[in-house]
Amino acid sequence: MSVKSVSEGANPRDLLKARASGLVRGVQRALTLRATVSEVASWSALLGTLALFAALVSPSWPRWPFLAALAVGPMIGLWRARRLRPAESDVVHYLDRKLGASEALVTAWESDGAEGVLGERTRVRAEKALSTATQRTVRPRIVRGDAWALPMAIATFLAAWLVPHPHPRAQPPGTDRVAWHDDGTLQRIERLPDRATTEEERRRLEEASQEARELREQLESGLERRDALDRIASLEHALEEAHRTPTGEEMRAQDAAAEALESEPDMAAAVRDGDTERLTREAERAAARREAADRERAHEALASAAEAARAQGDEALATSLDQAASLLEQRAEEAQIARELAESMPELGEGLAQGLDQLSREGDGTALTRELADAMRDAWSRLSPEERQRLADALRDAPASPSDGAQSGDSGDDGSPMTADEMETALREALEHLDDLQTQMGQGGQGLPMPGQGQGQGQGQGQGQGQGQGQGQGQGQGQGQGQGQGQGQGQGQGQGQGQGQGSGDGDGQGGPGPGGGHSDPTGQSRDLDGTAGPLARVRPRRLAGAPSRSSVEWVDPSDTDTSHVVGSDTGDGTAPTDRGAVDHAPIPDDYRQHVQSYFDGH
Amino acid sequence: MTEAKLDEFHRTIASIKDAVANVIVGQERVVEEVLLCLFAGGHVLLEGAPGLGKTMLVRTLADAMHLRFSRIQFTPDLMPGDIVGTNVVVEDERGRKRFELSRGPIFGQLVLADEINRATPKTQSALLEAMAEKSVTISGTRHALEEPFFVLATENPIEMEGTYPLPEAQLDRFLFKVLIPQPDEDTLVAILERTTGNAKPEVPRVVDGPKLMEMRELVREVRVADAVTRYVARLVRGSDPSMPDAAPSAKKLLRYGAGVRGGQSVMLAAKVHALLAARGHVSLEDIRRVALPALRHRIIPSFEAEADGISPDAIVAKILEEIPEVSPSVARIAS
Repeated sequence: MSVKSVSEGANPRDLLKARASGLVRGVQRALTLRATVSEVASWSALLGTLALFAALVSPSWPRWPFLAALAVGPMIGLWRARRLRPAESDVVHYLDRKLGASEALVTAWESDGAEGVLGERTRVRAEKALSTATQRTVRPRIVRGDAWALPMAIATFLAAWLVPHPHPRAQPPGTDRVAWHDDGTLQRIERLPDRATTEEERRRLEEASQEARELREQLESGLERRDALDRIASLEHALEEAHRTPTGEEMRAQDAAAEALESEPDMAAAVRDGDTERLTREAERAAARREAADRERAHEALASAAEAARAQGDEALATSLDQAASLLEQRAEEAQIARELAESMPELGEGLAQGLDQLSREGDGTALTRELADAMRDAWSRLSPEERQRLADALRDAPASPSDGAQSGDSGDDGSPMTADEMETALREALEHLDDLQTQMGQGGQGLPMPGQGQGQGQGQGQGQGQGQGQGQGQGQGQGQGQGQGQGQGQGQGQGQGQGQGSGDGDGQGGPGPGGGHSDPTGQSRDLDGTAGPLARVRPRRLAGAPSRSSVEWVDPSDTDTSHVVGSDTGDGTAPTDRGAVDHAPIPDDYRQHVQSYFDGH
Repeated sequence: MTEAKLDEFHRTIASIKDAVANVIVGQERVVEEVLLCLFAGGHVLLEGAPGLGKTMLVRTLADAMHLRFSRIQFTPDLMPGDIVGTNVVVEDERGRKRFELSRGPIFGQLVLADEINRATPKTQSALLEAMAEKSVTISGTRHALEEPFFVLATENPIEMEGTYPLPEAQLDRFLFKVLIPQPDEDTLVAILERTTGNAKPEVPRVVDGPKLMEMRELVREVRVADAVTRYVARLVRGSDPSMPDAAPSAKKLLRYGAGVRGGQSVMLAAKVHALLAARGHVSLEDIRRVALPALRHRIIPSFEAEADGISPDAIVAKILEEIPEVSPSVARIAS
């Protein structure tokens, strides 16, 4: 009801109420504004403090959410103002006190209209108070004490805004994680081994396939970028290696070389395939074929010469020529066996090749025999007892004459021929097995039994006594025992046992009887000179927390039949020559120092 | 009601004050409080030392208002029958005997109960029915007292030996307890001069009983806003230490607070005070003015307050300070 409309009704009480109502509404609006300001100030101060605290504790956090939350203040202020909106009678009472009406205004406001003299007096008194009232004079204070929180809030927000953000931590390049689901690229690589044409290519492609599979699985779960790039580059390299195609120059060179080897088709094919091992093998076979042809021609020439001499009546010369032809044939057989063995056992190295060459050129098989003996001894020492037993049985069942075996080509119990590849494979497997065995036996200090097989051409001069003094050569801790059997083609067999304690002062007993092998006729074994080369290889086995132990392999650099000497070492003495042997041994430096310090008594 | 009645009220009040002032020197505040009770329809307990004019004040009022005055001197051997009266055997002219009511002094319109605390509680209680219901019961017969009925009791706070403090129920029936202070020097000089000479002041009769009753009706027409009534309610509740919204002073210094009669007394007295101020409504100032004489005898100080010598007046003053005059919502607006 407006003041103007009420004035037309001419009811003083209504006039009073209309005028008071205007003031009441003004006061209520002011109260709403005041509540809003108050809430804004309070919330701003709270949020500003929180923003400053958050900025100090965690400078990397964003600050804008706190500013956005400022909108909450006015809304809460409006809500609180509406919720705490005072009743009209309370506002009128406020006006009454504000105007100093002594409760006349509130009494007149509550009047029910039945005014008497007293009511009239009250209304007049109220009207008098209202006559001087304006919105400005009765409006309550909008900005109160809590409004001081506003500048404080601004200050806190400003401070929070000015707190510097931390510099972003330098990320190592490529350390971000990438995840990638294969679209088929890596899976195609995984299927590439099915297309391989050669075994080598298949092997490489299978490696690449395995790598591609692992890379795909890791990329699906996430992988550091740099790792992923490395793995991809590695995979590319593996693929390039598997599918490496020769360049034009290389292909032209291969064609030229193959044309030059036209007379040897196998060698030419190896050159075209780039298989150097096959080329070497084919070259050796070609050389063997030609050598065999030469021998055949020489044998035919000797046979013709013997026949001519016998025709002229010189039987002695003819016999001599027949013997020469027979010897030539025997050497050819031996050389063939050695060559096949060399092919089967490329690990034997230069020594066997030199011995073979000497046998071919000079007819002297000593070096070849020595190399074969060393190789067999080394192989024997690596065999397990069961394997040794099987090998001994096979040797016992073999023909007495190696040449017979070589000629017949029988090498197995079943009488089936074994190719060089089968032999190589079998030996490789055996060596691998031996390596494992060697690892397992690393802690044992007992020397392995060393088989010895000697071939001699004593021709009766090996008349030695069974008793002999031998000086074992050895170093190392523990006891070494060796047993050997010597078989010779001479006129006797020698078997010796020896025990030695320590590094050289051990007593040994030479085998009785005519010296097989290399014992002198007196049965006295000669001293070994350690300065000429290693006499023994010390194979140290060092285990954590256990004393160092070693096994000793005996080596005779001067073709001494050490199979007769089984040394036992008390470890209380060292031969002067032994130190040199140690120095020449291929052993680690730290272990060598340990051994030296042990024998020096420090 | 016309404006003339209101004017007549003010003139009557002024005449009574003038009449009393002819006899009583000073004590304007006491006179005003007694008049507040008179027009509010309540009874007054006057407490003061002997010789301060209590009896004289009552007698002067009786003379000025043309009311039937009676005085009861309370002594320890005073019996209830001595106050309310009794049936006595009388013999008529023909020699027949019959009971006839011998009315006691309570049947006056303006009763002075002098040194009321010297009578036994049994005798004091004889006033209960008369003061509350304005009637007495004698031998099973209820006798209404003539309006206006106004009791003014006095007590001496000094000579407490051989006295019987008024019970709470008795005290609650007095609208005001008015304390009569010692006169200051100028007042004492005037009293000495006036009471030791030959001059006998005349007390005009300015109002009679019926007119007094009309004025009492006028008092009840005074308007009271809801906010003022609520303040009275807060005040009464604030003086009760058992209430949760009691004033801190009440909780600490009071054993019992004012009751409903206390609120009624404050409200009625405030209305009279508003009329005296020529207002048609009660203000908070009226409440504050009458709260002290209306509440001081309705509260019972605690042992702590008595030990500390804190008077009931000081306690009521503290309560007045502690109870907010306006409601919390109005205070929130004004803050």
